[in-house]
Amino acid sequence: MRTNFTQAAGLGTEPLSFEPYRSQAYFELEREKIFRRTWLIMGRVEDLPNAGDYIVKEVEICNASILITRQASGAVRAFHNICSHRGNQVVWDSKGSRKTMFRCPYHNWTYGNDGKLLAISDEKMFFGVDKKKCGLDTVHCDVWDGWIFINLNPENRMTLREYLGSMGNFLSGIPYPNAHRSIKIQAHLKCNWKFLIDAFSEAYHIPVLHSKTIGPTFSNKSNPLAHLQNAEFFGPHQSISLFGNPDYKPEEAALVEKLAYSGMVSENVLAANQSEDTADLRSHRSVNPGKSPTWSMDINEIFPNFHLDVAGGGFWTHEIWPITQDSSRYEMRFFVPEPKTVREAFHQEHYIARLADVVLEDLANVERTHKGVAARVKNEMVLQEHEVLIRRMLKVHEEFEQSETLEEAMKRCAWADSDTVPEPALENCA
Amino acid sequence: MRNVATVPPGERALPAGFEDIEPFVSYWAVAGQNERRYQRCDTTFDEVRRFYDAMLPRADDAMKHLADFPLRDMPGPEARLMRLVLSLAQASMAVEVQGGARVPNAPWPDTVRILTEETL
Repeated sequence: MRTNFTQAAGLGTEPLSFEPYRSQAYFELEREKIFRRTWLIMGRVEDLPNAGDYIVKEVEICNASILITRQASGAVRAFHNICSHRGNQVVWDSKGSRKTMFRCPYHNWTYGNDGKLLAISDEKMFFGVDKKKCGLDTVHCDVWDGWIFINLNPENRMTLREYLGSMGNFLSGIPYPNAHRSIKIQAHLKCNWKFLIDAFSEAYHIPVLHSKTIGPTFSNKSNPLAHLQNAEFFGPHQSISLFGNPDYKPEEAALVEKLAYSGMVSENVLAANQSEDTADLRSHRSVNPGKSPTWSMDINEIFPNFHLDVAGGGFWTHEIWPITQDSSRYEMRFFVPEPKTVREAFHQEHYIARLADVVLEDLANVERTHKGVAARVKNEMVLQEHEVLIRRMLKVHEEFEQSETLEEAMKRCAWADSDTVPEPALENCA
Repeated sequence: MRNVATVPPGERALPAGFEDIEPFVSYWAVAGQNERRYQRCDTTFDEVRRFYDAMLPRADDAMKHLADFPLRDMPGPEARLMRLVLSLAQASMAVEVQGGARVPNAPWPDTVRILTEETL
């Protein structure tokens, strides 16, 4: 199988500098030019199903704590979680339900979930505070296909839809099974955040690093090194399709694995759902876009730090959040059905146990890689054809760092888009 | 973190017929996926294997017995039996996949946490 993804992406073939992974100056640029400008993932609308529900998300690189609330009107809004009194956080837990008022636990200043300051405790001792000017600060917030994003630039003028561009059109309308229920795997790592992005952006490592856990699922004799099936490029965003071994079966001795999957007709071992529950997902035009019979999953990378991965058995996400130059927070969410029987719970426990091992194989690895790169012995990395997402991601970073505005960065990133994907019909946009 | 499954005084550890696996209750019948993963990782491969070898031949019987009880509202002995079954899934990663208690060459303890919306 010959491919030319790197060439099609309009990229060179030269080795690339390690500096972005270890330079503090570069990290500062990422803060200002990427995280303070782009639209950032916060979660799903199902995370706040009812009016009065809320979640709190941290964007450590910007020192931001973001409160996202569901209004009585059904709208989702976002605010800086900062009290107008002396700057404490108003909400101290990470989620809650049916709460339309927030009382700052420091001095009882009280806000509505629309951000308005409702009451000041001991107000008469203050010196003429204008409550109308002391609400929570609004953050740009928008929803695309059920995914909630924010933008931390108060001056931002680019809509979420414009930002997602052709990638948004490409993925639009995917039916996400069990979007209301997820299991999270969370970890804190001593590494630059881009090592985590890279770790989940190629399949070259899978037959090697994951040889025991998922190697046999993603490779076989016909494709021993898990060559990609497809790649698509959309401005700063990108998408690849991975090979799947259609003949994978548990080993003879894997008696528990067999028992766990005995009650299921599923697509492969990374399936959280029965096949019949993912039929709509699999038939979407942009899921396995080449409709390859030897497909396992798509990695959809939404710039800068969100992977929305879709497989025959369901979908999952990775969020990768920089904390400092050399530390990061990693959060993976698997969207899974509610088990109704012990057998289903047993299958789900097995599924998540395997994924936790897979993820840990990657996570231990990114810390080793960071150490190697930070040693400043090697100055360049050598990338191959099937690591095209990494090469392209670094080029996108370069374009962002050289741009004065988000608009300029987006124009610069359109150097080799896949054929423009038409805007979908309106009924698919909801 | 120290996880222990306790049996209230006067209650059976497990339903009748499962006495042979009662010695595994206090360590392996803990609530929560994150806790069960921790138990598997925080012991020796020999201990994981001992549990796996004892539990595997009883897993199908256990699930048949438990099928008559509501998943989220089981009596104490049944809840503990269910957690032993779920721990078998964790133990199988060590025995059937990794050939060791943990992912080789990964740190322990680690910062990995499994966060679930409900605790079974």
